[in-house]
Amino acid sequence: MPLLAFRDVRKSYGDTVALRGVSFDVEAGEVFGLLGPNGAGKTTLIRILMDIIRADDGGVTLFGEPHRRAALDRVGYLPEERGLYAKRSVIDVLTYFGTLKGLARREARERGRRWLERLELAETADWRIERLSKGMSQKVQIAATLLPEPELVVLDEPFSGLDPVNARVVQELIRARRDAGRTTILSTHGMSQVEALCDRVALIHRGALMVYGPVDEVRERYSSPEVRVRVEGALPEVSGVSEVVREDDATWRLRLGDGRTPADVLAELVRGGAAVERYERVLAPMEDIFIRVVREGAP
Amino acid sequence: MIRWSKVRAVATFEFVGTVRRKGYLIATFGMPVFLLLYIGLVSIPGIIAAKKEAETKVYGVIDRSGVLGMAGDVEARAVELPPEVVGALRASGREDAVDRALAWQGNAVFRPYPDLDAALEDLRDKRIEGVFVLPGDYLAAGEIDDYVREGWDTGASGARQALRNVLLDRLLAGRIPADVADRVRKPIARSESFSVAPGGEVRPRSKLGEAARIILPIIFVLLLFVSIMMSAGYLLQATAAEKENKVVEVLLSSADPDEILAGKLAGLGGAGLLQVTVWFGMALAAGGAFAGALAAIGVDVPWAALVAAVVFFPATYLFLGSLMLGTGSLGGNLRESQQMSMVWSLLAAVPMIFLGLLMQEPNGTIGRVLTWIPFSAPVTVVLRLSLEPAGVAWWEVAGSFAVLLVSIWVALRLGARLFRVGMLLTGARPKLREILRQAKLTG
Repeated sequence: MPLLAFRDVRKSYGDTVALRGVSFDVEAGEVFGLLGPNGAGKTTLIRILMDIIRADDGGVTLFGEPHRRAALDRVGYLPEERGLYAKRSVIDVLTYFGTLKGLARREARERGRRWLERLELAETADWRIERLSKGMSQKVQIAATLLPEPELVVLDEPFSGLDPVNARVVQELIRARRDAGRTTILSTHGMSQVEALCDRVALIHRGALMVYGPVDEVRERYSSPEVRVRVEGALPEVSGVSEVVREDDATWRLRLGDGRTPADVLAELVRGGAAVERYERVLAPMEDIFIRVVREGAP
Repeated sequence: MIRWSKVRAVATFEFVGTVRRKGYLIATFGMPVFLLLYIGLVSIPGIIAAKKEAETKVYGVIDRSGVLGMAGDVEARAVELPPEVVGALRASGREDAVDRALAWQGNAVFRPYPDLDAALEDLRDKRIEGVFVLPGDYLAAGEIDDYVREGWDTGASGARQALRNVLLDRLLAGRIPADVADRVRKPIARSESFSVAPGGEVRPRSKLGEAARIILPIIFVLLLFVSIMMSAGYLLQATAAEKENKVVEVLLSSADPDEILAGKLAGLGGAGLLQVTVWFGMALAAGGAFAGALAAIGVDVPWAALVAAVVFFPATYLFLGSLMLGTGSLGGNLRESQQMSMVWSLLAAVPMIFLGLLMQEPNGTIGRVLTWIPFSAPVTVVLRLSLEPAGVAWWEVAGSFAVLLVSIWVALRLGARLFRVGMLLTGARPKLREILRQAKLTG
């Protein structure tokens, strides 16, 4: 049973259709990428999940039960449009968000301090929020979202405004959640992050689900039959290859002809005496898939 | 169904945040201190003037008519204060004020001068404060001249009054019987008034007591009205800040709008209530003797009105606060929020517009109608119970409160719906059609 399931969810704002019957599942313990261009309907879908707005039609199942507000105490949410109480202290804000998710005040405060230490922000506990830099503020927001240790968390553009060092910290937090069996929905435009972090993705465009499935499968689906090979010395002649592109001194990309498989080609290369150092299937980057689907408006 | 743990979390956060704010602390503890300082400051000229008045003032008199028959200095007779005023001042511990008031005209001394030149020379040299000249035909014409130094002389009118009393004594002495002379000097030596209640009960009437009975509820009502408006102001500020700080979506994902609304109302209402309690506490501590003064001038504490106020005003705060918070959340910033919620403040101020009529006829048609309108009910009920409690039926009070309770429920629902819409609205100030559309969409 999926942790979260959207079933034929529809939503319109007056004459504007935001969601046209979207259905997909999010499994427990995975990092799920919710992708789509601006205005695709991602935020509407997330707001329906968080019970901020109601769907016109369709259903949402959460933790195996029809969606109930009480279940949202087990769900964390970091919205794209986010902020903190500028005049309040960091620890007060963390405590507040913790208590809103059902933690006792003392417990929320202790967890808040632990999270600040974990994010190397311990000295800022009593600072006013307005004193924090943008990056610090971003990390405090992430801490506020993760502090109640929610079973499911929705992170909408968590990397925006972060430098590479802090982006790496957040990536590690997401991976740690997966290792702990907790589920993360990651909504981002950073396709490299999707490739690095996500197990499965759903790509929404103009309110409809265009692409859905494991990241590797999706990339495979949109990839041409190509392999990348790194050899020591010269590349032997290989039959059934329609195109050979040299990427650097020792690396070639080979487009396979009809009926040829990567295994066949590798076997032929070895038979031909090539000292193969690296051999891999060339998968389409998520960014290319994203652009192609959005441009063509079709899966 | 409201989850009270969420309400408590919001309320605690809002309460602690508000009572720690500098502005709040200054308003709560600084306002009474500021008022005391202000009162002290404006009292300084009065104290100086009173001190000056307490000094013996000498006035020269040239009596060409011979009416006064002055052989030497004549001290002017004191003017008596109304007994109610004396009683109130003494009961409030202001013995010094009584003595000063009674002694004031006793300090005027009239000194005979043989001619005007000598008197004016003393006036110029500041040995005397003024000169009165009674011409030879004073008895026939009743005219006198007076001379003072250039500038504003605050004692001149008092001195004229004192001279009038001296003249009255001299004119009446030996011409009419002593008892008649006394009545001429003091036509009403003492008066006692009675009031007749609608039930026929006759009670001693105290003008000061009646004034206090009217003024005290008004002060009470005004203080609570101000506190409600201030608390509502905190609500608007908090909501506007949340929109500006963009924490709205996180809040709405953690708690229902009803819970957020209830938490804000409780937390910020608590802060407002604490403020009023501090103000009243300071006032009571500073004016312990005030209660004695009230008793001395015959003011019955309007207990029914006080109880009604204690019950009605928290309810009114919930009612108005919900509406103000709901409409206020539609604004993009604090100024817009205040503009949009102003309509509720104006409606709440309706009884103030009719205050004159309500005081003339507390249980008249206007009073009875305003009792049933939730915006005006609290102030009207409290005023009616203060001014003419016998004319207010119990079912009117109970019914009015029931209407208010129903109105609170409606206001909370409406406020929460508007709050939900308002929190998600961004950009330009929304038009009514857009608000209704959003309310439908978010429902």
